Amino acid sequence: MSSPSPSLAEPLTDVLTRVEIRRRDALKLLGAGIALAKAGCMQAPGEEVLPYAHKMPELSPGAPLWYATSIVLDGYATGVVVESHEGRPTKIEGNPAHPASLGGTSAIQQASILDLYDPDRARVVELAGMPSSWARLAEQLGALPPGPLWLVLPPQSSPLVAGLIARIREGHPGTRVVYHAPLGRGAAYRGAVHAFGAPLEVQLDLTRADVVVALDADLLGAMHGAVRWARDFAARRHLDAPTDTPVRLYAIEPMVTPTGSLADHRLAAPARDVLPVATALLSELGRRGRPVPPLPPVAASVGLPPERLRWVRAVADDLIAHAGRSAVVVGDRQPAACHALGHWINAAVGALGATVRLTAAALDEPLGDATLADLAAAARAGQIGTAAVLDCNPVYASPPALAIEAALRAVPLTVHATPQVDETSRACQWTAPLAHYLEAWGDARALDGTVSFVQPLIRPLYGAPSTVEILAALAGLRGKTGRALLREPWRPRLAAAGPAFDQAFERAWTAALGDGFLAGTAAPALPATPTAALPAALVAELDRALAPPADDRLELALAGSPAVHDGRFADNAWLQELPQPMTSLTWSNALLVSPRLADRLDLADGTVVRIRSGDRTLLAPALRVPGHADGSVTLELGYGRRAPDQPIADGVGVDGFALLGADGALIVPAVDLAATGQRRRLARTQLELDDHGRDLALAARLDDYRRDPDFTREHRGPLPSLLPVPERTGLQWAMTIDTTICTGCSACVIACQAENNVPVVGADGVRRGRAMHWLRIDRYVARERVVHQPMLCQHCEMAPCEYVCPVYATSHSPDGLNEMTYNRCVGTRFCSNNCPYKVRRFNWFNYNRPETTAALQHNPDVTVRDRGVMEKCTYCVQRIRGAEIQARMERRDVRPGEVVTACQQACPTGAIQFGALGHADTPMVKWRQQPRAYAVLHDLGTRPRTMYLAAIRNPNPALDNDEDEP
Amino acid sequence: MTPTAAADPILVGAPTPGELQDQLLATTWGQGGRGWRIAFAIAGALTLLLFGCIAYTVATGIGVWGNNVPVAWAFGIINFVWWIGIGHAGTFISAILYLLEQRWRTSINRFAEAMTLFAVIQAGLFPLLHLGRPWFAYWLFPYPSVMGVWPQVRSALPWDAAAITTYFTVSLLFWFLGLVPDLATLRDHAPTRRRRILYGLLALGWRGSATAWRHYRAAYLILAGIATPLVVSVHSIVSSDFAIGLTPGWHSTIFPPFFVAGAIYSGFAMVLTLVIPTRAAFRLKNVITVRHLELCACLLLVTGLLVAYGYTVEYFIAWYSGDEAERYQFFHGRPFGPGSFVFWAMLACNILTPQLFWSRRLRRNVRVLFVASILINVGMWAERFVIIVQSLQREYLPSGWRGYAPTWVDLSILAGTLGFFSLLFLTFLRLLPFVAVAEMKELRAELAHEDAAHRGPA
Amino acid sequence: MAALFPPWANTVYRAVLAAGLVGATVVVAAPMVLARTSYVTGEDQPIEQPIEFDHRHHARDDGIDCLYCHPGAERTAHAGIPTTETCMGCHGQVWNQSPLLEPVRRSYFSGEPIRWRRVYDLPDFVYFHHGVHVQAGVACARCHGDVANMPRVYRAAPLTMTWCLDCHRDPPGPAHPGRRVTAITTCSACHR
Repeated sequence: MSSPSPSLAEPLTDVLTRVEIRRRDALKLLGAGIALAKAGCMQAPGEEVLPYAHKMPELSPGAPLWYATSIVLDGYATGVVVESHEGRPTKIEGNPAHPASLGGTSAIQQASILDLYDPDRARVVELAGMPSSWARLAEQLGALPPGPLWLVLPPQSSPLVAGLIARIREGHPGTRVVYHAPLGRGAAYRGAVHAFGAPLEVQLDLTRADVVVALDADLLGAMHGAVRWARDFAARRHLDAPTDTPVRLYAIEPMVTPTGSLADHRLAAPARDVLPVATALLSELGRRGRPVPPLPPVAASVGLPPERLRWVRAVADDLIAHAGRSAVVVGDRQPAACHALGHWINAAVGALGATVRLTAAALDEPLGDATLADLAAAARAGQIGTAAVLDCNPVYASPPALAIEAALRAVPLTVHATPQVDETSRACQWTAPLAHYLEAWGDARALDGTVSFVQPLIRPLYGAPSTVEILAALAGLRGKTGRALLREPWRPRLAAAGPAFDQAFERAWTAALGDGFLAGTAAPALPATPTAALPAALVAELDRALAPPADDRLELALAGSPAVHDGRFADNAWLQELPQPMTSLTWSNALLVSPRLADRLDLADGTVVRIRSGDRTLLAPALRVPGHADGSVTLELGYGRRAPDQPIADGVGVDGFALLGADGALIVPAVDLAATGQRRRLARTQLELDDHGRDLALAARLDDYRRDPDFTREHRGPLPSLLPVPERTGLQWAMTIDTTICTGCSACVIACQAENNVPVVGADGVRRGRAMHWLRIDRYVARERVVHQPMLCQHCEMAPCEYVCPVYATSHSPDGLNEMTYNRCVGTRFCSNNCPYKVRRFNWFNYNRPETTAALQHNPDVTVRDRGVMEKCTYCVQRIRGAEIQARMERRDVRPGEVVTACQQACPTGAIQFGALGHADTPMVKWRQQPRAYAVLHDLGTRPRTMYLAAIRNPNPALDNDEDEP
Repeated sequence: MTPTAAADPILVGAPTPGELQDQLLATTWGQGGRGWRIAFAIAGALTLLLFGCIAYTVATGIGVWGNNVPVAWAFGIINFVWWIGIGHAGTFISAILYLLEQRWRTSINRFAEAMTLFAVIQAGLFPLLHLGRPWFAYWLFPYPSVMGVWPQVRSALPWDAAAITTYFTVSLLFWFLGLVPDLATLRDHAPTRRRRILYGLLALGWRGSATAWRHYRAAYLILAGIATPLVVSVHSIVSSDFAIGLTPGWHSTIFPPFFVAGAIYSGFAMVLTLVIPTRAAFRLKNVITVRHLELCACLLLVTGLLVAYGYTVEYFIAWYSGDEAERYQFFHGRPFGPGSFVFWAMLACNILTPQLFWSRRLRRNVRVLFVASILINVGMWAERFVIIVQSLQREYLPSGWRGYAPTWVDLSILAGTLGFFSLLFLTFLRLLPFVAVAEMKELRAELAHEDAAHRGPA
Repeated sequence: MAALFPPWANTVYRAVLAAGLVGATVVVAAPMVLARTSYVTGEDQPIEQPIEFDHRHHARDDGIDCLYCHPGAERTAHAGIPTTETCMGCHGQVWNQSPLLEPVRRSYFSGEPIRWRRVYDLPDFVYFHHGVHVQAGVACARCHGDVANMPRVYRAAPLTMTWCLDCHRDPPGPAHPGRRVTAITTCSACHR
């Protein structure tokens, strides 16, 4: 039974037993797991059942276990809790105690479980394409050829890795390390150096913010730490009553991000115009008597168009009005200068030490050691003996000008350790499979510095080593398991020396692994204030950057994909099919353009455009995005992979890196667009963004809400019905969703997919309107204002789908669920026709592929649907029934908050609340009693159990005009 | 008899019973002409295509059709409603006109009943085919299963299953009963022994004794009585497949009568489409006269106007309901949304075409009738497309709006059923007298008698 | 003209018609009957196991409690098949030379599971939870029959949905006082 939420009260992981489990052959374990997981199957009569030969500590067949571990992306750790069925990890949940998660997760984190079982994973060590072995590679790594060693690996925050790299440097003097992250935060750190002389980390405390200004910063979506920040932001954004004053959000950005979509005042501007705006903002603050450093003359020359100036002035006033309770956040993509100015702005409005704290960087060597450019140069000069590329794909994810592939080929010994054979593998002699994080030991720091542990839930499926083990081999520590490597440095730190040291350490170690992190290891805030005057370097940079552009050519703003990040997740089918926030585009990226620009260039959705930047060109299909800045076009990175060994990723979308300048800056100042004749059919899940004047996703401005709190009256309350009311017994399940704090990040979509064995249908399936997501996020745009409306089965009390089913395959449970009994469904699809919300999904083909390893991810508590049957959101009925059974056995009632749906659990902002109507003091119930609660299509009399809270905006009266009206 | 009727009789000339019989049986003895063989070959090929596509669909999954969400019903249900509608004219002619003692029905009722039967066979394929899991179709019938669950009677679909099976059974019996005397005649006149045995087995030992005739008439009358309500009930039930839904454009109380009118409308159109070439090919213009065609045309005009009325009411209700989705459906979605040309084609074919028949000259112009009948068939198919596909693709939540495009399988299956239908029909034309011989003889006698009475004593 | 059919043809004809009717009825009725026979349900058919395990020795003669080997039954979904370790717990001492137990010892030392054959086999789309039934006071024997007297275990129940519903529609009183037993017939109780 899948228990509602990962409780850390679970028996704490005993390391030795984990090792016991790991020592067994993983696949055999899985075999047993499956055999037992399906409690009896009417396949061949007398099917086999395989008990374990030896008792599995902690494990009783059929009952899942949860283990804490950490996901590390670009060096920053997020604590998660992983559900495991008979040694088979099946689901990722956020670790409620971990500061970077607070229980929430991102879509990418949710989907990472699928990578473990990806059939396309690299499986064998290869030397020049011939199968070799890990032992041989380890040997090779132990005896490197002459010449300095270069390491290329993602940014690291791991104390263990730092130690190992230090040892490697001892063993191999002249070793250089390239921390490769195309979406890295180098500029942010350099900006901090400008302001504080040190690469400090910005820690936001949004729970204390009344005004937040996002300068091209997707602090609720893409940025590291967004999961945590979204939760804090939501705490200040959600209203319990009209009298509450929610945090006000300003955003300036080219493409509409989750953050921008929630902003009360969103200024659509090219990314390159953010620095001038920041400069203007700083000088406006100065003009208002705030302490700001003298700005260089060039700052005065910044001429903003009137409406932007108006915006800046209003923001300045608002920031000052809420001094000490306001914060400015600068996006990672912006130049160091912009980050620096951001620090001075925060200082000027008294944010430092209040809403913004500065700590030591979480990363080791945040400013990096060497760059890819250095690597390329050194390689060509023949100054590299060995290049070890670990867990990254620089050949693909790097500026073409650097010609990394050629550079690597020029190196005598090249090793690529990678989860999947990719572009870089082709350029290297050795290719080693890399363990998935659920197979590996390790540690890392969260953005706030909290030490988090990575512990395996399963033995490496293909015996692959982890990054740590490879580094250890380079450091000359051969034959040491990841676990041994990790324990060694922590021994002195976890327990005080003394007689009972060993027991003390084991206890601390077990506790640490049980929690998944070390509480109280967050980096302390530093009493940092920016220098009184702008440093010369910054002034020089400003002079360069603020010089008025020669001509107003279009800007190309490159961005990480919310789904496949920088391409490392491109082989993940869930993420490929995830409808992207705002565009609901799947299985591809596109050149995102504003409708106005599209009209000017005569671009329809899907028109293939030739993008030219200097001598680099790229063909990409265009897609209009209401709200996109006119002077800019956006292209998401991570697509257009050329990796035959990654069939899901290969050739999907176009490769934005092809347009990346040698400096790797994501803001390409000048590009030319030319429409070509061709047209590409984009696979999108939502084609209509206009609500056609129907009141579907309600929204109101704060003052209007206060004036007329009851403005949703038309959309709730009792309605007469001729139909018999279904009998009700027991708890009555229901859901409430606050669209005020829904960012549309889509973590819930993947969480639902993972929990409920929802299949993928591929690009063509999506084009034909056959996407299977049980939970989709509807978006309606009115006057460039977005409301995100998670749309899932509404569990109508008067469900139209129920009375049209000829065989009772969909029926109503006494506790208010609209049940879908797959095995009774004959597939007339009448229910789907009669569902006004169109949340029912049909298995047009047999989408389930039991023969692939991907099937091992399936949740054994949910039936895997066959072709020809209807399916839909069940409110995670398996979790409800599981909790009921538990309660029944313990002779008690189900407790409030005991049942948590997958979407609710994943939601970073906590916008989705689920529970029983009887549990009066849960948020779910309190929320739906608010005046702004409403039911979608209320007048149909379907009496949905899912209710929504209208989106309340908090516009600044000074800026308020019709445009800002939601 | 009205003067016009006198002017053109429902039986030209005064053939002797013998002549009449020979003429009507000739179709079964004679070799089918070259035209017939070509038609048969084409129909056969299309039938193979049909069963090929059925096999492909069942083996691969319903996904090979163009359906999607929101348009979860499309060609399958369109074809189903279209075919079952066509069937209705047959029952209408054979049952209702019989009870109304419309003599002119005699020459075309056999023919129309056969059409009904074959149309229902086509229709019957689809409720099965369109299921995601056709092999569980029997769950729609009430039987004591070990699962302890029964079909849901609130849904229209189990009733559909019941209606179709009933309709098929009754039509078959009615048709067969009517055939019995003629089968006997065939038995007695068949040239070869094999044929005589074949027809003999089917003739149920009919001797034509007075008693037999008395029983026969009673039975025929009863079956006519049973069949009559079916004309109304079957398509009413079919219409409730939509009317009970809340989809904009579906939940409308006008549907049952509207559908029945449409059914008879399309049915008579199909009768004309079939009868006009047949009577020419088999030289039966004296038996199936212009008079018959004209009367069909009149019925087309009447039912056509009923259908037009139906459309009007739909629009009125859409406006009157004030439901924005409903209004959008009728005032934007259908006339201007995707596939709107089908909507306009529907209006043109179903409303304009029959207006021709106000003119007696056109009513009696065989070519015009033939073309018009085909147009109406197309129009009625378009009507079902509009009702089903266009309603579904523009529903309550714009976020769920999506168009529809058929696949080659959809098109092949439609063509295939046309072929299969023709195949059955062509076979029927060659094996059985498609004009009721016995009844015609009887009619002939009556007419002769009236004639005499008319002239009066010399 | 000679009569086409001899007089007896009528009789034959009627007989054929009658046979047709009867045949039709049988075709419809037969599956319904068949579905209720043990031939289809697989009831009462002893299943051969890789090891000649005899519940009579263990459960009846030695009076070992069901839960000793099937501990999951009380609390979890699966009653559980005992691990080889459990077997060896006793058979490490008693009958530790018996050739009959060779497979057990092999499994124990190799770590290879013993491949038992399933006796009670529900479809994948049915979620049965032992614990909640046992806690509600449903005795093992109610579904599993008198296992203690089965030389080779066979299925004592048809496991058809109606069989489940018989209890679920009107559950018999609890075996032990104070145990809550409620009629649960909602679909998602078993199908998720």
